[in-house]
Amino acid sequence: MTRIIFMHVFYGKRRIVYFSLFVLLMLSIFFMGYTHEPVYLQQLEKEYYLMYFILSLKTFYPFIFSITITMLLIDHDQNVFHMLYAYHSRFIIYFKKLFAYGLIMTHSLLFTFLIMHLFMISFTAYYAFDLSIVMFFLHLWCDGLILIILFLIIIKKEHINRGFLVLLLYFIFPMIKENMDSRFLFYIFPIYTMDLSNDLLVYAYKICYICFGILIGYVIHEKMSIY
Amino acid sequence: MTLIQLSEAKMNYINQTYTLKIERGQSIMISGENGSGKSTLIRLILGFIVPDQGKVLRKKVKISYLPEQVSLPPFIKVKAYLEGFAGVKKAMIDWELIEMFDLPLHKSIHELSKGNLQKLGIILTLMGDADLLIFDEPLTALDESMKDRFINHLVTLKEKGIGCVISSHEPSRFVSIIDEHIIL
Repeated sequence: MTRIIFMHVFYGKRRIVYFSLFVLLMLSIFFMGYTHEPVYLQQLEKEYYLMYFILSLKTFYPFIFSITITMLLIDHDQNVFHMLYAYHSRFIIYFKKLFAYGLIMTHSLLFTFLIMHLFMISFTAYYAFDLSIVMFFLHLWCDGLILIILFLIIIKKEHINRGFLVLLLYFIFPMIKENMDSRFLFYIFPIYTMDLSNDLLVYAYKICYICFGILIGYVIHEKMSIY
Repeated sequence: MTLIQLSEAKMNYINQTYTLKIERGQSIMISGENGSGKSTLIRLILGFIVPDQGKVLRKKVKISYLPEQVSLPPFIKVKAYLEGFAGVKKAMIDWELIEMFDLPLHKSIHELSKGNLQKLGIILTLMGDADLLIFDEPLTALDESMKDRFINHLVTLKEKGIGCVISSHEPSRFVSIIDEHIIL
């Protein structure tokens, strides 16, 4: 199934689009982290530079990441999969899809993390491995799963535009949450926001949210009409 | 053995009530004018939609289904796609069938003509060990000799006990295999 989804996602010109997006992302990360300051100054003000880089990364990367996920899943509901719904069961195809998209998302996230790490070690003098970056990527991994589940539920062959609504929500939600300063909003849509990023309970809540989402997605998948 | 049974099944948007029993190995032809509800009946059989009235009883069956239009990823080689699909269906590729349909394996899907694309759809549908085959307009874009080869293959499958439901505007071509003809 992963192979078939891979074929449907990364064909021809789409491959070029993803590759360009990835290069753009890497260049952005590089320019975010790169500084013209002399090496001794970078080493003297290590913490300041690192903090600035992490802050920039946390502000910028979730946007690119959510766009990538949207692009991956925007046409997940194709009639080839309907052929398979009839052959296997909806249950199997739903979970295989979830697994395949989750795998692609995990790989892209890991690859980004590794390349970023390599870039920063090679081209800057201040970069040091920081646990907060790992925690940030873990947050994004959870966000990725939440987005995948939402897209699998919401996007249908005839309603592709709905995907952009979720993307829009992902963009504006942290801003709303920041202004209202309410935890209740986080309970509704637990995506990454800087103020809650250090709380370990947030991970537990996100995992529960994902499990519940998978269950809801499965029930909806079983009941939905296919045209 | 009854695989699927429709009892007074009805959708609100169509003025048609369906009562139908599909037995193992039975072949059914569905024909009718445009908008008469052929595709709706197929969706009900597949379990893609739930009837607004009446009920559909179904055993746990593997159904291979060919939709009216198959959308396949354009820049993939036919052979690679067949192998991928065989992996999902946990089936072997039937090379004899591919030879019979004269499908160009080394072309990309976007290079295929409409007829060849339909042949690929048919081969994907025939892959695996389905209990029931459902074809929605399978003869679209096929030339005369391919139509004959396809129907001959269905005859062979029928002899093996695999039934099919076919929706077509050319019902007379399937006379040799059909057990029941539903005109909507």
